[in-house]
Amino acid sequence: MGIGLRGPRPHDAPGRRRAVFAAALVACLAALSAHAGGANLRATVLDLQSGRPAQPLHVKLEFDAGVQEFQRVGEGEYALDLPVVGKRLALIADAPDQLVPRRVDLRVPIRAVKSPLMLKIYLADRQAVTYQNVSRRAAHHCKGTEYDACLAYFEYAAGQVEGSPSIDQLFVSVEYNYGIALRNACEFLRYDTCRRAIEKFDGLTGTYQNHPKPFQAAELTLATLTAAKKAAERIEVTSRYTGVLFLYDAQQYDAAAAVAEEMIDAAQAAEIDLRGTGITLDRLRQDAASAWSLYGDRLQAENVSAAVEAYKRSKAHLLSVQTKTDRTARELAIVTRKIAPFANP
Amino acid sequence: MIGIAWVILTLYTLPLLGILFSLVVSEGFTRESSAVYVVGSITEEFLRTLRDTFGSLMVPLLTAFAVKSIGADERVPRRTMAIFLALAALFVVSVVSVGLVKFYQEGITRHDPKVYEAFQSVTRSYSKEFLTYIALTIGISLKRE
Repeated sequence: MGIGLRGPRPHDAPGRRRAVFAAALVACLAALSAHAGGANLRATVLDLQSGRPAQPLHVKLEFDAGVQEFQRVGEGEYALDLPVVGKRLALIADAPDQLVPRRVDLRVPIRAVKSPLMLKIYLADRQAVTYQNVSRRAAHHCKGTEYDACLAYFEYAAGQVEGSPSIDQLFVSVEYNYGIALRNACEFLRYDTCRRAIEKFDGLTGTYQNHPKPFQAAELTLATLTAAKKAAERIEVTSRYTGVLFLYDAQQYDAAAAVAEEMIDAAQAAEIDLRGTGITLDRLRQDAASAWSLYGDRLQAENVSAAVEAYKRSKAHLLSVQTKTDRTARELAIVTRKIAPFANP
Repeated sequence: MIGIAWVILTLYTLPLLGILFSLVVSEGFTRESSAVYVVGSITEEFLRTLRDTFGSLMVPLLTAFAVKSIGADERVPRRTMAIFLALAALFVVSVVSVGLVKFYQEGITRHDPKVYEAFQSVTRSYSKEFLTYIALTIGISLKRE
């Protein structure tokens, strides 16, 4: 009997095929519903304490050109057709009284988004911010990879302690953990929170000079704060550079070049520190040059003058490379050749 | 007997002294200290169950050492005077504690809002009770001319 049941039986085959077909159909429908109405941004809004779907009043997306409301597509689930303009966007969840509203600034080069962007947003509850609650909630929300849960809690806790006139152990502890949560959200969730994390650690370093005791009580040293700030700066640089690669990969060459140029300017103005990131000014110049060159190639058919302008920018970047490599020389030769036909019309 | 009175008085004021101790240990409630939680628990328990019993102990003790039928110009017995001064000092301490608890509200609340409520209730009740005990020690027994 056992042997008979082991292999596939001929009369079962149509049934199995039907099951496979049905499963495939369900998967297709699920995929289609995920893209329903071009909804390529989906957000799940959860109650931080219970972990269950929250009932926010509104979920909106704010971007350069305005505000767009999400559509509710399920319990605690919202979908939206991602706008195709602008560089930055923010998700806003207005919450009922018992929960804390959120604003999540996202660092997404949105023109490059192809697949649906999934976000999981937590709304914190208004529990009293005490030593024990902070310690318990940090242990619960900040241990794993639920970076948004950790950020949601410390965003609320920081809001509660920041208004206070006294600087005590809880203030220091909450502010430091908030900085770490901002940094993690920037690194792992693509939130636009690196700069705020850096400012937070900067502020704490300043406070340390005048009020060292609360920091000693919280077992935080100046070296810890400096290291946290340095790490946040590194993450900011690498995440911005990831944006360049992301845009380049998505063939958004002009946008990739623009971000690379922004980084060059920021590094030259000492606004960002490239040390320890593995990214150099030369590398950024070379990336900008490659992006402009490819952008020029794309424009050549429709707008020759714009294409030439792109090639010239590419060449300018290659010429400004300090340590010239074979690759630089090769690309410089290519770009020069591309410009040549238009140099003497 | 006077020794017993002092011991009872010390035990009675322990939560008040504990609040001041926790204030010092936690550096003005700016750092988390287990002393605040411990004193908070003691204070809550004191308010809930022990205060009334202490009252029933204090009243007969103080009555025993109260001024016995003397005129306004007569000399108050030394022991009565000592108890009176101790109660007066504790009254001042309790009134100051009311102010300190209010001043450090945020730091105490950051430990536990319930601890703040307990500290507030107990310091206020100490002030009232010390005044009552002062009255008990001097006022009631003073001979009317």
